[in-house]
Amino acid sequence: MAGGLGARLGRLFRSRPPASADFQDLKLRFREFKYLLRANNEVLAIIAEIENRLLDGGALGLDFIRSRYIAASAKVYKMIRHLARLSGDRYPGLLAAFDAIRHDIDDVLAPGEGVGELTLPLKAIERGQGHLVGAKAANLAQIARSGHPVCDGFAITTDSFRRFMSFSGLDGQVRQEVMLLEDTSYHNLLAASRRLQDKVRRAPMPPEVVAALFEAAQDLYDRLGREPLLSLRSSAVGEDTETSFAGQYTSVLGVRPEGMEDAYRQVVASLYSPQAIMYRRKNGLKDEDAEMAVLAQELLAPEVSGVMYSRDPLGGGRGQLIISAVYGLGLGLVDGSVTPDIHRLDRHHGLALASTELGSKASQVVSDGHGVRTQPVPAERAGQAALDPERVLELARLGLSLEKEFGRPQDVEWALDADARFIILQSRPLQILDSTPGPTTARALGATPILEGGQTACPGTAAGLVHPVRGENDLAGFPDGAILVAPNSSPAFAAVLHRAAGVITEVGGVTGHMASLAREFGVPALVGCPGAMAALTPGTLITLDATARRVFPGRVEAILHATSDQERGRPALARTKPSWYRAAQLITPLTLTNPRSPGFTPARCATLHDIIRFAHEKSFHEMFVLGDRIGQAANAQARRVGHKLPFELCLIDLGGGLRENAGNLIWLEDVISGPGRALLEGLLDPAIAWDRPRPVSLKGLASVFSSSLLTPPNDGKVREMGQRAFAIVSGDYLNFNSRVGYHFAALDCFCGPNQNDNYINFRFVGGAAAEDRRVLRGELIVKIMGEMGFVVERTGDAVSAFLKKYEQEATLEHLKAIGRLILFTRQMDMLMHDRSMVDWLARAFREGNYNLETAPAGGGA
Amino acid sequence: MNEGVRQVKRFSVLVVDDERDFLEPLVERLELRDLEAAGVDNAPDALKHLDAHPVDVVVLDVKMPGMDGIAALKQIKARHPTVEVILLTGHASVESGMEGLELGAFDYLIKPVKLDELMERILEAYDRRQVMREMLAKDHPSPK
Repeated sequence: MAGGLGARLGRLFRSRPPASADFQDLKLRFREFKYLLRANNEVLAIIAEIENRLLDGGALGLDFIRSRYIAASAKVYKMIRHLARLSGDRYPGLLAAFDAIRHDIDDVLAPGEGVGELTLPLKAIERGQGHLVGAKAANLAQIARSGHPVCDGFAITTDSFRRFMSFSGLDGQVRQEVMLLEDTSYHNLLAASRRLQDKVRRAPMPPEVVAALFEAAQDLYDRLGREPLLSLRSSAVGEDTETSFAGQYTSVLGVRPEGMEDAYRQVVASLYSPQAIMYRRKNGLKDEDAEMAVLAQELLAPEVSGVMYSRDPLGGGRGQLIISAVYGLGLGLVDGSVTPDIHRLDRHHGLALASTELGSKASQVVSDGHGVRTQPVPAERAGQAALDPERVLELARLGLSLEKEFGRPQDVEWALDADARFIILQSRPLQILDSTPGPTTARALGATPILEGGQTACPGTAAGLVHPVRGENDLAGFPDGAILVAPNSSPAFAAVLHRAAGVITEVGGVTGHMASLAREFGVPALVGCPGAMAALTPGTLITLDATARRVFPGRVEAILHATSDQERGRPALARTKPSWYRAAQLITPLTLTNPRSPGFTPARCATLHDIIRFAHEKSFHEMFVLGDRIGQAANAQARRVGHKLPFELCLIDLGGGLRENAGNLIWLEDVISGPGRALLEGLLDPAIAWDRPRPVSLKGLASVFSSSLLTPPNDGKVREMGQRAFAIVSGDYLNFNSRVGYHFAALDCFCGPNQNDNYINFRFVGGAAAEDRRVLRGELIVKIMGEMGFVVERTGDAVSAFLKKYEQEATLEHLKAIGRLILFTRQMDMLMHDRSMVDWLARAFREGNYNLETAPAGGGA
Repeated sequence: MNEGVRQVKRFSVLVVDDERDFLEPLVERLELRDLEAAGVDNAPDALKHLDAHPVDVVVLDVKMPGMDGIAALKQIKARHPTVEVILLTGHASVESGMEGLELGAFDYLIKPVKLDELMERILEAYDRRQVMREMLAKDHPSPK
C-alpha cells in the first residue's frame, strides 16, 4: 500500500528540482519542514509518556501500548512523507526501515498474544498481573498468597472490560465525549458523565464475557460448597495504588448470578462518574486509558467490620496504629453514616492498646441473604465496644503483618465473620502526610542544595563526581560513576550513559532524545537546569536528587536511601518481558545517536525513535541546502534591506516574516520574523563600526595590521560590488546565505516557543588570505562560538556550529551574536598571522571590543 | 506556525461524523472560533455538500456505516483535489492511518483531540491548500 509512495513523491518533486524551484515550491517545502518538526515533537511526547509509565512501575498493558503505537505510527509515517517531499525523496530506505519495525511490533502485538483470561479466581492471580485484574484484586491475591485470611472470589479482568467496550462501541463513545468535555463547565461534565454512564448501563455485553461470568460464579460456588450472595467491587487499574481512587467507584452488594451482568455494568459505569472524571483530570490521567477490572467475592454477613491504618496517617508515619470498628457491614463506616469505635495502639514498645473511644454505632448495615439493609443496633449493644481488647490486639498484629508484606504502611478494610475469624477485605498503601525522611525533606536533615530547578527527565537519586561535558571530545575518558554535567543535552551522551551515575544539563526538555535515553538507561537526569555548569565544580562530589530537582554538595546518604526504599515496589521487567514490554522496546529506545557516524543510516534504524531521529536530523540538512539553492530561484520575491551593510542583503518572506505593509525596501521595523530580526539587529549593532578603519595605533598590533588592511577594503563604498546575501524568513524561521568576496556563510535557524524545535545551524568557509590565515580565522570562530555554547567543528578553514534546544529568547540572543560575529570576523583572515591572536581576538569579541579600539589586556600578538 | 493564514478571517470547514451527539457540538464550537462550519452525518451527503458548496477543509470520521471515511476520502480527492481532509477517528489503526495519509489526507488524528490542536491542524490544512492552489494556478494559468 505504501510502496508506491516513493515513486509518486519522486515524480512530484523530481519534476521540480530544487535548483529551478519557484517560490511556491519553496513555501511548500518549508511547510513540510514545519509539519515534520511538529510530528517529531508529537512522537517524542508519546515516547516520553511510554517511558514514564515504565518508570512508574510498568503497569502498561497491551491496550495502552497498542494505542500509543497506533498514534505514534501515523505521525512517524507523516515524518517520513514530509522528509521525502522536503528532500525530493533522498532517503527511500527510511520507509523500508519503518515497515520492518512496524511488522516486528505487529508480530509482538498480534491477536492471541498476551490476551488475558476473562475471569481469574483470586487464588490463581499471580504477581505482576495488576494490569489484568486491577490493584485491589492483585493486592488481595498477594494477601492470600502470604497466608492472610481473605474471602474467596474471582476477578473479572480488564480483558473482559476491553471486549465489553469494544463490542458495544463504548470505546469510541468515551473518546468522543472526552473530546467534547474539554474546558467545559461542571454542568457539561455532569451531562457527559450521565450520557456515558447511561450508555454503559444499556450496552450489550459480548456473549463470551457473559458466559465467563456465569462459569466463574459457578466455580466459586463449587469451591465454597454453597451459593452465597456476591459483592461486585471495582478493581480499576491504578485504583488503590499511589493515586488513590478511594470511594470514587461503585460497589454492588448482594448480587445473584443472574444479576451479575447488570451489576458489572453498574460498576463499570462508575468509571465515568463525574467525580471519577474530575479525579483523573486532576491527576493527569486520561479517561480513554481508564480500565476497570471487577472483583466478585462472597458477600459476608459479618458481626463487626471496620478500617485499620497500620500507622497514624497524620502522625508522620510513626506512632500509633488505628482501628475503627462498627457492627455489621463496613458500609456505614465508609460512607460516614455510623460513628465507629476508635482504638489507638502504641506500636513502639510491642503492641499496646493506648486508648479506646466508643462510637455511637446506632445503626448497622446487614446482609440477610436477600440483599443489604440498615437496621438499628440495640442501645445496650451500641454502648459497648464492638471488639474486645484481645480482638483489637489480634487484628493489630494482622495489620503489622500486612505492612511487613507490602513494605509500607497500609490502609486495611477488615471484617469479623460469623465464625469469629478476621477476614481481610482489602489492603492498600496508606497516604502518609509529612512523610518519612525522603528527598523532599532533605533540607530538614541539614543538607542545603547548591542547585535547584530544571525538569526531571528520569527520576531517582545518585551521588558521584562532577564531570563537565562541553563537547563530544569531553566524552572520551568519561569516568565510571561520574555525574555528567553539560550545557546542552545531546544524544551523543548515549556513549557514556552506561557509566554515568546521573546527568544534569542546562538546557533541554523532558521529551528530548537525551531525556529519553536517560530513562531507557535508568540514569537519574535533571534537564533544563540553568547555572549548572557554573554551580558545579568539576571533580567535586555531589548528590543529585532528580526527582526533587535538587543537587546537594557531597554524598547525602539520607537522600540516596530514601529513594531506594521508594523504588522497592518496581517489578523486575527484564525477567518476564511481556508482549507490551517487547513492543515498547521497538518504539522508545534510541540506538541511532551519532549523526556523524557512518552507521547513521535508515538501515540501522531499529526503533520508531531511531526513525524520527534520522528524519529530524536530515531535515536540518535539507533546509540548510534548500536555502542556498532557492535563494537565487526566488529572486523575484526578494526585497532589499535599506540599512547600510557591507553587503547587499535581500529578504524573501515565506509568510509572517515581514510586516504586511512593508515596502520594497526593508527596514528593521518591517521584519517581524523573530530569528530574521535578531540576526539583522546583530548585523546592525552600532557598536560594530564596520565602515570605519580599525585603529592602527594598537600597541603590539601595529606590526601586524598594516594600515591598508585595517581600512575597509571597499574604500568608502558601502557595498562590495555584486555581493548579495539572501535571507529567507518566516515568523519563526531564518535561512541566511551570503557569498561575500571569497567567504561563504550560511545560517539556518528555527526559533519558536517550543524549545524542542529550536536550533541554529551555522557554517562558514573561505576567505581571500593564505590558507594558514584562513585556518586561524576558523579557529577564532570555533573559539568564540564554543564559548557561546555551540557544538563546533572545524576542518581546515571550514567551520560548522550547531546549537539546539535553547529557549526562544536565548536562541535569539545567539543569533544577534552571530550577526555581530559575521561582521567582526569579516576579512579578519587577512589580519591573522599568529595563533596567539585567536585568544586575544576572542577576548575582544567577548568584551565587546569589536573595533579593537583598546589594547588587549595581557598583550597580544 | 500559520503565518500565511493569520490575515484570513473565515474559511469553510465541513465536519462529517455519523454520531450526531458529537457532530453538532463540534460544529458549534468551530463556529465559535470564527470558522464557517457545517456538518453532515454520512459520506454521501458530504460529497453532495462538497459539490454544492465551497469547502476548504473537511474533518472526516473514519468509521461510519455505509461509505466509510477512507472511501469518502478517495472520492473527495478525486473530485476536489485541493480540498484538504483531516481524518479524525475514535477507532484508529496503523493501517487506516497510513492508507489515509497515502490517499492524500492532510492528517490522521485520533480522538480525543484538544480543540486548540484541531483548530491548529485545520488552519495548517487551509494554509497548505492556499499554497497548493497558488502552485496550480501558476502551472495552469486560467485562459483570459
